[in-house]
Amino acid sequence: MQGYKSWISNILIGANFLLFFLAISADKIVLPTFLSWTGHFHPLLLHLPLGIASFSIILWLFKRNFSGSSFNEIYELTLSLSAVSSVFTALLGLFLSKGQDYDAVMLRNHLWSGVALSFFTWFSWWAFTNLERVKPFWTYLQVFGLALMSFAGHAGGSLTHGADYLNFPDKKEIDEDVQAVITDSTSYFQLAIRPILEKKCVSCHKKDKAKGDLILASNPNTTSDVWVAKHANFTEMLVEMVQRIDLPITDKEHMPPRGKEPLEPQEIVTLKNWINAGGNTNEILASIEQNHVLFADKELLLQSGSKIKMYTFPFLSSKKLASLNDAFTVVRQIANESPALKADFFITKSFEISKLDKLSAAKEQIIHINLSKMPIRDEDLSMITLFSNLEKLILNQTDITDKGIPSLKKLNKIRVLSLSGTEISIKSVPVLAAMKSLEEVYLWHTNITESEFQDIVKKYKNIKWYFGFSPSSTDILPLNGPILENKSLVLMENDSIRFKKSISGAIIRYTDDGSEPDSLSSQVYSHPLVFSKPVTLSVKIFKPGWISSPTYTFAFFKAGLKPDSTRWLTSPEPEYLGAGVQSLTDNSLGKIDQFRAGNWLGYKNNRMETLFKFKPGDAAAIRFVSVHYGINVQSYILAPQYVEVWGGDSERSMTLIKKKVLPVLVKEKLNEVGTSAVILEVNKPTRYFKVIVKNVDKLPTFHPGRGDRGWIFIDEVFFSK
Amino acid sequence: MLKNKFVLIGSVGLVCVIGTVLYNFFSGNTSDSTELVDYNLHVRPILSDKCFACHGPDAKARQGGLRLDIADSAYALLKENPSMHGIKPKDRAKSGLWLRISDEDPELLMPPPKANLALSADEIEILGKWIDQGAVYKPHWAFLPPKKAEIPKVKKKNWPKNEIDYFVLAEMEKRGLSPSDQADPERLLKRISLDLTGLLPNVKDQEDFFKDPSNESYKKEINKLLASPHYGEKMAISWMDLARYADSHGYQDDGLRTMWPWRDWVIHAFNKNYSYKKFVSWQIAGDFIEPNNKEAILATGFNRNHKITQEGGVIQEEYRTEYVTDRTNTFSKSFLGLTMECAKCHDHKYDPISQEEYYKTFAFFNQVDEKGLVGDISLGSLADPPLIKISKKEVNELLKFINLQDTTVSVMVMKDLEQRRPTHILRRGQYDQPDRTVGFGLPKAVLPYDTLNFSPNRKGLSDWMFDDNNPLVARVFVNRVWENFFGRGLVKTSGDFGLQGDLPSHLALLDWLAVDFKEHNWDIKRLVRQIVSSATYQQAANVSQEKIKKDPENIWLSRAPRLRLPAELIKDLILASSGLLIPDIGGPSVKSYQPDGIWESTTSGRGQLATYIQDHGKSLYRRGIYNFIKRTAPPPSMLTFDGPPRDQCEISRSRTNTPLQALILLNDPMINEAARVFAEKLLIEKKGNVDELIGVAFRKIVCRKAKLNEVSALEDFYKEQYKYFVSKAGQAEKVLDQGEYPHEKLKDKNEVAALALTILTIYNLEESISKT
Amino acid sequence: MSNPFFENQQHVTRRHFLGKLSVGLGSAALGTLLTKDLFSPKKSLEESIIAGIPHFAPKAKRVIYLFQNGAPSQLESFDYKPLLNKMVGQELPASIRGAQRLTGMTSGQDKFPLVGSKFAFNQYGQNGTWISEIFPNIAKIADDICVVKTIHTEAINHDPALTFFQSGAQQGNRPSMGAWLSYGLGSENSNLPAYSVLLSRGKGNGQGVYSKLWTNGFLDSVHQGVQFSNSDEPILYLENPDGVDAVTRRKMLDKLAMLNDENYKEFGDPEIQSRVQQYEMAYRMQTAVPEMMDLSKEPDYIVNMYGAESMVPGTYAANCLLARRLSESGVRFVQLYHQGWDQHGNLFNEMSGQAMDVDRASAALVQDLKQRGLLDETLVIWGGEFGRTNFCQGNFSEDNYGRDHHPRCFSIWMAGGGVKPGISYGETDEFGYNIVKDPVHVHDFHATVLHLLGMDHEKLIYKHLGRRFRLTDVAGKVIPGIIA
Repeated sequence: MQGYKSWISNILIGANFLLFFLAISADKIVLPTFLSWTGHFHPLLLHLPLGIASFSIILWLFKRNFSGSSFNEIYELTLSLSAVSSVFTALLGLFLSKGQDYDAVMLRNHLWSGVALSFFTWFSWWAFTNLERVKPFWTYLQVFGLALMSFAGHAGGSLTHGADYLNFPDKKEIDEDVQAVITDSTSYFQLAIRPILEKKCVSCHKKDKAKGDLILASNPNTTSDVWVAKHANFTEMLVEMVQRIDLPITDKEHMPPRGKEPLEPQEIVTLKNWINAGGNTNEILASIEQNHVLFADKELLLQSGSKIKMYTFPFLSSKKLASLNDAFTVVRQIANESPALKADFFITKSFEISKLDKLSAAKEQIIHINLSKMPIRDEDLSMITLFSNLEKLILNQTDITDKGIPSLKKLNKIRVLSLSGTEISIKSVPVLAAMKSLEEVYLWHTNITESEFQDIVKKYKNIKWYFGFSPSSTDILPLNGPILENKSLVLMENDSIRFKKSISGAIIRYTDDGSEPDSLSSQVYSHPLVFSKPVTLSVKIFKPGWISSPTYTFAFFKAGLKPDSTRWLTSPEPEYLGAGVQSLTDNSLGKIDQFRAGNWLGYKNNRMETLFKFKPGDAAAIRFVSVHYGINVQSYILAPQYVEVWGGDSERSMTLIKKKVLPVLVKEKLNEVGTSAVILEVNKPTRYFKVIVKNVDKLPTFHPGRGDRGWIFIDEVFFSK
Repeated sequence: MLKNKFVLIGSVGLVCVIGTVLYNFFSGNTSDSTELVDYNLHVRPILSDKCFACHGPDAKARQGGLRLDIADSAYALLKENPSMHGIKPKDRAKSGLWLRISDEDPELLMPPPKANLALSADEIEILGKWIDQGAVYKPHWAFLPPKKAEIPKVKKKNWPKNEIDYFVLAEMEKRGLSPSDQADPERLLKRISLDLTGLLPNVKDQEDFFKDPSNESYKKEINKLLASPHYGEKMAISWMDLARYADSHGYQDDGLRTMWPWRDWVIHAFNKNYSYKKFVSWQIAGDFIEPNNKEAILATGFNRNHKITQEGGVIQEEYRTEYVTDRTNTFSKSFLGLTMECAKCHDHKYDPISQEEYYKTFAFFNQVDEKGLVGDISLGSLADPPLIKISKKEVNELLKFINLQDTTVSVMVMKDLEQRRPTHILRRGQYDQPDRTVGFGLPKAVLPYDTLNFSPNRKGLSDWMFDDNNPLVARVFVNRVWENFFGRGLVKTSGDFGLQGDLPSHLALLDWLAVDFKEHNWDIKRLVRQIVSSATYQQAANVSQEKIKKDPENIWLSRAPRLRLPAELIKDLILASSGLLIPDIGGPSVKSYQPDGIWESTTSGRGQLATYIQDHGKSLYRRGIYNFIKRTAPPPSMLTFDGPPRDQCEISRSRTNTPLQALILLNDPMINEAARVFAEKLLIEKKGNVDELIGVAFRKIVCRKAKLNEVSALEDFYKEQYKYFVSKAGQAEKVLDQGEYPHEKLKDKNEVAALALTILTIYNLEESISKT
Repeated sequence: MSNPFFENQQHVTRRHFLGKLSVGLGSAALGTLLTKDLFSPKKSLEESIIAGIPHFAPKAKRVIYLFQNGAPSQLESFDYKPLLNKMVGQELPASIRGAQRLTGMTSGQDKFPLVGSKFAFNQYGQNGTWISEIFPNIAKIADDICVVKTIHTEAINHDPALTFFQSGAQQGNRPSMGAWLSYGLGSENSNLPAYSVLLSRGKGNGQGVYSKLWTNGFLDSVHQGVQFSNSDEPILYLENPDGVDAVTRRKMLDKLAMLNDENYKEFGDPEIQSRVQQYEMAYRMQTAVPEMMDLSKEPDYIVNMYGAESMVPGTYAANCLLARRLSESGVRFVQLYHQGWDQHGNLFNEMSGQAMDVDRASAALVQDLKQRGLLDETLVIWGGEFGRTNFCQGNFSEDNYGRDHHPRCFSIWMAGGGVKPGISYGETDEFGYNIVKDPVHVHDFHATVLHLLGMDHEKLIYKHLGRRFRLTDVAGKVIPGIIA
């Protein structure tokens, strides 16, 4: 058991002497490359003594929990390990320092505090085993060790990450500084150059790290003191900067050095252009006009992503971000490079206020919240004020009122606030107007009246107020027609006629005698209509404050009885045979623009003659024979010349029952397109019907096809009760 | 004494530390450099993807005179810097390539940052090592004729069932993977039935195979399925995608066309097991090969399936050029697996195909006696010339496979002009910028078109394709067939065997299959049989987390894939299991249920397809392959399940999973009708209690016996629904008012409705619409 | 009773984090959650683009594209050319016409008589934008819109020109603009399709639309535009069949989830879980859509604003209102097509009719977005696929004329989404035939729209069959002059 102690003792003596020797002669020695390479493990190894030493302190605190001598055994081992790891860490650190170009003062601090720490841990181990009288002071000794370790660690951290690494960030300064909004009076330097320097140069060239004695502060209020160190003047410094950028990457002098993030091509161009243009840090954007050499760069920068605000708050981890999202809550980065987030909520039913609460995990990052249509109440608004960086808040159509508005005052970065469709009144306006950061407020469809709008706009000019559309009394619009819900104009046995209006508060009125419906006396449609015979309805919609709709006419047919058999006596034209003779009695009407579809039978060279035979029972019930036809005058499809219905008890003994002659085409109807029907009442029950429909023999002279035969297109013949 | 001891120990310690460091330093280096870098495997994909666009085959786009796809040019001295080579084997410092890709100066770095094509650190290192090792170029694998490699040796000798398995197992063993067990008989039967016929096995087949799942009865099953007339339909599905088959002309007015007799021929050809050579050469050049055989001429309809404009006012030549382009691109993509279309406007940027070669290929298809615009949409031309008319008489006598009702039908086919039409190279691919004329030819990197052997017409083209030395045609087809079964080709990019395409996962297997296919007279059924007989194919689809981690894409085939069925087969499955399917083969395409307004809201209002006129009766229950495809408004249920719109040749479909699919499977009237009819049929027969009926339905749909807990879960659902319908009068009738199929007369509507919804649930199981 | 809407929540969330997420809307949405990995090594471009997050801060988050299908005449709408009225009937000088190719409809014509606008023009807004009298409501929002008078294209026929505008290639087979956006940005509200398509038809001469205009091309089909139907229930197959209510559906989905889960235990295939998620999303969609359609929280006069037709499903006005609601609910790209703008003849009557259809609702849409504070993040685009000739097609008569297709210059307007408001961009010659200043090619237009949405058009790429494709093909540049 004791064996290891002598080994360790020997190692510690050797290594610590080596360390001390190297440390005092640090300036003079030159290390072989591989040794300085081993130095790279310093940052790795240093966690060992940190951990072990901390562990030893914990052990000490809990020493009463150990029984007998076991504490001493463990504790000694821990101390010895702490000493060994410390000395090797320090050695490697020393090797490392040789290869690098560190700030001398900081390096000295770290180096000697490291050496001291190594010796201290060595001493601790030795003292604990051999020096009984230090025991009473042991706790103080531990505290001292901890302090020493912290100092060494801090010095090291500053060395690699910058002097302010472990300082508390001075938040206020950074925020105001970086988030400045770009305006015409912003300097070009601020817009174009500073971001590049910050990203690519300042990490090495700053006050405490001043590589090459060059300091490029990120905010040169005056150029003289911060920019230049080695150079006689500012311009000289810039010249060197360009030279260094232009060197090949393999050159040692090249900037940024190998291994650091290189300048993007565009960044190089931007830098060079600016330097060539004189490298003025004060020139403001407004003065860079169309013919200025930097104009193109300025435009490009303003339009490209570089106008993104830079935020100093950290990125939220992707895991955390994922946990904030669900199917109804979407929280996203505003852009790839930015830590800022936008939160949207969807689907009212899914919303619970706890969801907003959950977002507080990202209360720093969220700059935009959209709560449109969510059931947000006044008392919930205080929760929103948690989001201290909020810039845009949309509360359209939520349940908030004037009571809630004052709590929004805490949002001191808010720029855009949309309250459209809420119960906000004029009372809230002064509150809003007093919010300094606010730029745009949307108050459409709130309790603020038209006349109040005018006053607000005049009174509070620091904010852009939007009140949106409000209906004007002079703007009277036409209503559109009724919507027929029936899919077909053919009514089956129990079908009713159903209309729908598209606008609430409108009234549907109709007539069934062909007269124009008026707003006073015509029937009001209130429930589905049932008719026992074919009917043509004229329908119109009325609403106060609107122009009434045009009149729409719908011709309804009762479904016909199916004949036992149907036969063509004359044949339609071969390209318009429909789906055969059955098409005439399938209770389905064709569409006017589809004469090739299965419903239509087209006749030109023959008039239509078709024979229908009914079962005796059905025959007795037939009251009406209706012929439905299409019209498209320009396409030579006209209404028939006449329609005849013949009847009889056998095919041979037919007599003319009814005939209707239709009016001839007039010039005014040259563009007519539509469908129509001839409805003939028959009162003599017969088993056989012959229906004859005659087409126009000669198209009139004003028709493009004058002299030609007209076509007729028939899609249905109804035999109805 | 003590002092010496310290020094000694200190020095020893120091030596140890230094020694360790040195050892690690060198050994690390040596182990890295021993790894061999292969041009085809490692280097070419990088060069092609990141460099060839500017330093590749396209002479016009070439920068700095440097060409990297050919060794001699790459090794040459640089024009810009005569002391430097493009690549100097074994000398990075003298290789311009190396210096430029490793440069950190953004102005010198290659690829230039502007090109948005950064090389990763690994890629840079691969190129560096390749130079160190001598920068050896190798020819592109796909342009070398395939050779049969020796069957590899494997450890697990009892697993392979045929040659395929040796190749697959060898790769698995290399990667520490082992094959899965054989799939259970029920699932295997479902898989093979779907794969060979697209239809589910009926319950009797299930019973039989379940009782005797031996290799013998599996073989019998294969034979039975291969002999089924539905085999042709299944094989035709992917051929339709590739041949961009549709029932309308495409473009804006999009009138009706009748190409379906050609589709019937494809089904017929697969069923008759025409050799791939006959099958394809007839489609390419049937009119030359058998000028008096109407069937062979009908086959050439393949090259007339492209879209044809009916828009008044177009410039004829612009569109005629477009049609020829479409044929050329379809030819190269489907038979050569090459993206030749890139060479239409300039030399191909990656593959060794010049613009001149593109137009030489173009010339074969440029001889058709056609116009850009034939006529007015209102004339309703169902087939633009050249065409053939097929009469009922011819169908009865010769072309019996055409499902023709009673009239004559016109079909577009290929016919060349009497006088050869000169073919020009078109500058930038523009129809109105002709350059010099070219003759007939094909990319010589694939196989030179020797005019002594090959005639200057499509017959010659077809001979060239089936020449023994053509390296691509067999491979491309074998790969596509493989993809049909495994969901992923041996070459993943089944439409691109060029330099930008993926490398084959199993090159030796692909080549073995290709050569074997050629040696056996391009026998398609034999190839299919080989694949489905393999142990690889018959593996179970179950997968462990470990395998998913090791091989998420299942590249190494250590399990069977689980794949969602294509759109057509989902329809088939639902119709067939419910007993609604009308298994007729061929005939005009059918228009089944579709939501209102889809055609109407897109149409120009002209032509026969302006409104959707739904079919009735039998037409509602035909297989999915017969769905009417109007190109400008394809059936939404097809599109949602990844069916392509048939605008152009598509080699493979994507396989997505979206909420819109769920909506269709839940709410489509077709599915609800099937569930209703299925329920009615079960209750009319009433062979048992509810749980038994559910079991029957489950078995018909999912093709396996339901587990106890599955039945009880479904039965619970049934009971709940039944109770609900009893409590809410009239609701059951509403549920049952689905589809046009006549209702059975059953008294208890509540029972039918509850069972119908239960069946709908079974249809919606993930397993139902998956090949497992 | 517990809310059926949430009953299966646990199920979903548990699955959300299990295993690999498969393709689908769900993963598109989840893919967008990944933040930039700060510690990753140098990556290739494809890897470094994170789906769903703009490359840089976007100005616009969503697009509503009011496509005027058939090509409205710029000379009767936004490009005022008084010279044409002075020279009515005179021949178009050959020097102006140059080598412009003609369509098959006018190539046979031996005379090209100039014809001026029958409609009066006036100046509106602070910058005095010229707008024709048939667009009185658009005139009222002159200060909100940016009229681009110098858009030009290469195609001279409808099908290729439309396809070019929507996909960046005349022959199509490429993903359309909305699909690219869905691919690049994902959906905001995963309960609705990221890319929605609404169709309407005017009374003018129509040319039809084609599903290839909203195709996903070679992109995954989740990026496909979803065509809405012109009924009260816009998404196809959304409604449960008659007699099946939400409770029944919920129960069915629970059973399905349970049975699928059993199967997952057996097979271990993550696709099974993914399908369960898709069913849940479908179920949520059934709730999201009716809510999106709900007007109850809006004033009655919203009807007045868009016009009475806005209450008739399938009209342009109704689609504009629906577009606003979709966009407000987080739909990335709402594409409207209004057909009937192809005035080869009878231009006077047809065009005033078409203008009546669209004027009020188009303007209302812009105003409506504005009053909700959404215009700055929503880009509205209005325009057709090419312009129309300054000469008359067919026989020229005083009261009836028509114009053929003209690709060299035409006008569109844009509003909101980071576009400079209240300006006219670009100039054409006094014949309205050629561009004299600031041309904007279709590719430039695409590049600019992508830019407004925070995407670099050269970086939004997809590798397919060995080649990297972009919406802007190999061309296109951002037009700074129209960006605010």
